[in-house]
Amino acid sequence: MLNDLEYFEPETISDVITFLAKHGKDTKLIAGGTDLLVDMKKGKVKPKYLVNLMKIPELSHIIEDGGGLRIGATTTFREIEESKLIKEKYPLLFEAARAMGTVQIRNMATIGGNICNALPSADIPPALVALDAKAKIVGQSGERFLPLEEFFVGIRKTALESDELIREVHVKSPPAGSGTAFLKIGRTASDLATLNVAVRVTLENNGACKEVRVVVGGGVGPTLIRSKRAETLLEGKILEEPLIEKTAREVSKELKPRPTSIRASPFYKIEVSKVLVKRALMKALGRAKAGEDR
Amino acid sequence: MREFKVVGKSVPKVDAFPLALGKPLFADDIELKGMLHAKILWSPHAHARIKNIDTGKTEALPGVHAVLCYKNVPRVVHTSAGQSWPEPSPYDIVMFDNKVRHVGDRVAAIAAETEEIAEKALKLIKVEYELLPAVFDPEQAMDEGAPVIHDEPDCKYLIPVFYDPKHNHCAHIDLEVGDFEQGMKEADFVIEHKFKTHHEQHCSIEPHTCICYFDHAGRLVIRTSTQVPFHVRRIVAQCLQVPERMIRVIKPRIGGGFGGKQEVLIDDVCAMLAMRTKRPVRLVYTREEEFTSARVRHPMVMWAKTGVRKDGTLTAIQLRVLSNAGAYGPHAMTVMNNTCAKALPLFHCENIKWIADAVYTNLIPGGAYRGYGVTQAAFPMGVMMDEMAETIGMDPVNFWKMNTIKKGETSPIFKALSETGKGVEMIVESCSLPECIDRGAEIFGWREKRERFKNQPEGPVKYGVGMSCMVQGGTVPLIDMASAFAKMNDDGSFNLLIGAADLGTGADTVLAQIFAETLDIPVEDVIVYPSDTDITPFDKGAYASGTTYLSGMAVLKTAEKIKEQILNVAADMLGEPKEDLRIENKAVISSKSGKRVEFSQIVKRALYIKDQFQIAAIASELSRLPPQSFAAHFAEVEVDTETGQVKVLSYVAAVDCGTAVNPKLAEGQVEGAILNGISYALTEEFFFDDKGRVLNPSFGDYKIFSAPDIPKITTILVPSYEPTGPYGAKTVGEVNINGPLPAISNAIYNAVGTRLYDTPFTSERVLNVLKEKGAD
Repeated sequence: MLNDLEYFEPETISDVITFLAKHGKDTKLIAGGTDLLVDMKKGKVKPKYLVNLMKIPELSHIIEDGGGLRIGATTTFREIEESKLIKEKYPLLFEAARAMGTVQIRNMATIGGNICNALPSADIPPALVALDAKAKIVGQSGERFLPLEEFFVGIRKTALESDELIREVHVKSPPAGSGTAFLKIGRTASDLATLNVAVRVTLENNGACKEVRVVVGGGVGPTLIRSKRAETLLEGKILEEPLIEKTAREVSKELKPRPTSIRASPFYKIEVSKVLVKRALMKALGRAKAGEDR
Repeated sequence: MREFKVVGKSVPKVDAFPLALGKPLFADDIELKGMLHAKILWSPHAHARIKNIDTGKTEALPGVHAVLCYKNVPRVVHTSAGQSWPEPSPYDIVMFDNKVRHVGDRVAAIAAETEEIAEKALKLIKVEYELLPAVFDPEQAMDEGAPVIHDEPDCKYLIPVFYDPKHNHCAHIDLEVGDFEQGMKEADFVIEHKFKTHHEQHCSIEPHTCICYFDHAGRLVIRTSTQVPFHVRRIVAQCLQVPERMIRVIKPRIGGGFGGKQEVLIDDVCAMLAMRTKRPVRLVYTREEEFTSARVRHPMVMWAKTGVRKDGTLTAIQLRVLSNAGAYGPHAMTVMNNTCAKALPLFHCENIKWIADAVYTNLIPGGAYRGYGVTQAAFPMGVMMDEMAETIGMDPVNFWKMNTIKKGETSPIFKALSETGKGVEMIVESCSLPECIDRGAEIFGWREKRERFKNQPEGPVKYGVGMSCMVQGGTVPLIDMASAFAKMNDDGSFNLLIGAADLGTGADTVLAQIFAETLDIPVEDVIVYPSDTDITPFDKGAYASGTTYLSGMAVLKTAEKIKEQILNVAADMLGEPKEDLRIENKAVISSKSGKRVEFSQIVKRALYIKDQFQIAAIASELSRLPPQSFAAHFAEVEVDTETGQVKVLSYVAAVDCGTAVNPKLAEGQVEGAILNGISYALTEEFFFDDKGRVLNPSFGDYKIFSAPDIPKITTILVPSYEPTGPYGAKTVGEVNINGPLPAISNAIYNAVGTRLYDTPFTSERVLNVLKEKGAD
């Protein structure tokens, strides 16, 4: 049941900021609504004001700019999945976007909404973190950029102030010599992730690993986990299967899955993380060597 | 095979067009003036006595029109099972009791102006509980000192069967045909395993929905999403203590039943609220309520023991069954009985021993669910067959063919047991199972794949194939009855009034086809009006796969009676003896003179010209035996041994349903059942906490298959001709849900050499089993 609330459809970002400055604490911003409306119907969230962002043209776009990509906050998963630019140059984002929910959900759900809902099981945040993405946040006091991994501070908790909103997500173009991979385990195709893994491997000209990102999501802690251990173990090394396997085992030690999850026990998540991290690293390495991710 | 004009053709569903247009056809598609909205307060406790309920604040809330609880409704013990009277289920439930027996049990109900007010009102009800110890594990339910769930003195069965509620013992039967111990002595190998199957919800897209109102004459109309309109009328009359004549039940279009709607789950409460308020009342379950307060497939623990000789002879079968009935016993005994009565006649075996118990626990009650006990038993039996074949070194295809019942044969089980008790002797007069096995194996590529998977690829992903055969007897013999009424209109069209309940299955279409075939008319000339207790004659309802077979025979007999009347009038018109006349293309033709008179002329003569009367007929059909439908299933799986993920790559079902009256609809039933079964085998699962609460009452957390998960399913209909069915038809609704559990378990074994005896085969369970095996 939806409680009594006031509903607004502003057409500019500045209107939203003005509104939030006044009522931020009592307001929920809504984009696709695929999470928020469910929570509202269950009575988990009871905002006084509901502000729809979908009528703001300047929030929806996929633009290649400088050395990277700018994705507007209300860009839908379906738009990301169907963008030729993303599929060709940011295949990791394509794979992660496509892994989320069903087509019907992807038609509605937005990248900004997904990030702001901050579920530890979300699929696109690990991919974004693996690409060193930043959130462009706007509010009364101007704009700021925050690396996405710092944006998530807990289950459904973000670093966003009550008078702020995400305007865009900025993704750097993966450096030359990069390969990426996204792997997910769920019970069905439309399920939330039991576990997901996003990996980027960037190789030097001599074949050594210049930079690596291993990001694990799917409820392995209050937020996704960017494995620093993997970066320490792999960067500067020639990547071979035994080292990758060892790294995968080390990464699994950084995970802290909750015992209350219905989707799988902590034991299963840990076991499978070793498998998925290894497979994702091997796949990304293969792609980096083949120059698939340019 | 016999050729027919309308039967055997995939004519479009008679209700397809309005459904596709989104016409308001479902129970909840109407909005009545002054309609109130009902909500039910559910127990948060698994087992508790209600010491007091204070509804004062609730009743004072503006917009609340009625509050029901144990204090103000009559205590009428009954069963919620929508079965024929006297029901073979215990009378162990009342509309509202001063005791709750599972989390999600009824406590009180409210009718209010809006759903919002009703929700608010629920929160104002003050309930004082005295908590009681609860029991959840069926293996502990009969222990001395276990909490007694039904300690009320008035619970009972109407029929003389075992019942010991003081020990939570809801049902017990055992039987032996032949000599089991002797059979064991004759065996070269004895195999024994314990199996467990799990809870499953029906997940009909349309939840339980009921709207009650009073008509112009002050009679109560119940518009409800039910499989059993006539049982609803009887049971609601019983609960409300009013005569049946006060009640009319209308079943509109239904969005799926699968057994879940063979239950009077909400109709009694909705009707009582309408009685109290004299206003229309609407009661619709939420999805969460479907998971916490509806019915489920009975989970079972089963111990199977079989003996086999080196030559492939099955010498003995023993199946011990412990069924978890949950908090109430609707269908508990009958489902339990079917683990023998409708599952074991499949096997060529002279020595069969079967011991079964159903016990009460403080969990959600079991109920009817497609497969009805056969699904549970088919799992251990299908796995045992695979293991026996392997033990003696025989290909499962040959072993299954050798050890399954054939045309012209009988099984001692038929006589020994039916789902309600004593069975009826019968000979299987139609059976194409051997052809099903052969054709299924061929199209699936069984031999080639068995050979190929002897050498598994390098890497963590392994492949395997498995098969299983299944049977499901349709109808409850000597109890189930269906009837039909038809009358002829001026233009030679007919109204066909049937009590049968189409749940989206296409029953209305199939029955129209049978009627049209008999009178040689197009389906468009049959105007079907179904499932209205004021207007249509009695039908037991849509369950036990019986509609095509039983209601179909009633329709056929009705059409034949009408045919006689038509021929009589035509004989008079043509001045020729009836014996020379035949019906053809909406007309009567004389084989002698070649003269022809159209149906429209015949009916006009009957209605307006001479010896006027209405050409009309009614006929009933009683089930004399349970027709046996068969299937052979083949599954190909991929098992990721590092993650435990099992994926069904392809699935072939070869099915003997007799004549498929409408092949497309029959295939739909087959595919639906298989999908239902695969989803049950791999992902569907209830989680309870230690207090008996369902932890995953939503589609977000209880995963059913949807479009992207569906593997390639190939359905092959292998006809046989059932002499007791309409145009050779048998049944097709349930049998195919019995295949996926054993076929997939066997395929996993073929891939990785590890058997799964507990369901479901989730990634986590498979990985654990593989790791245990690795540790050995």
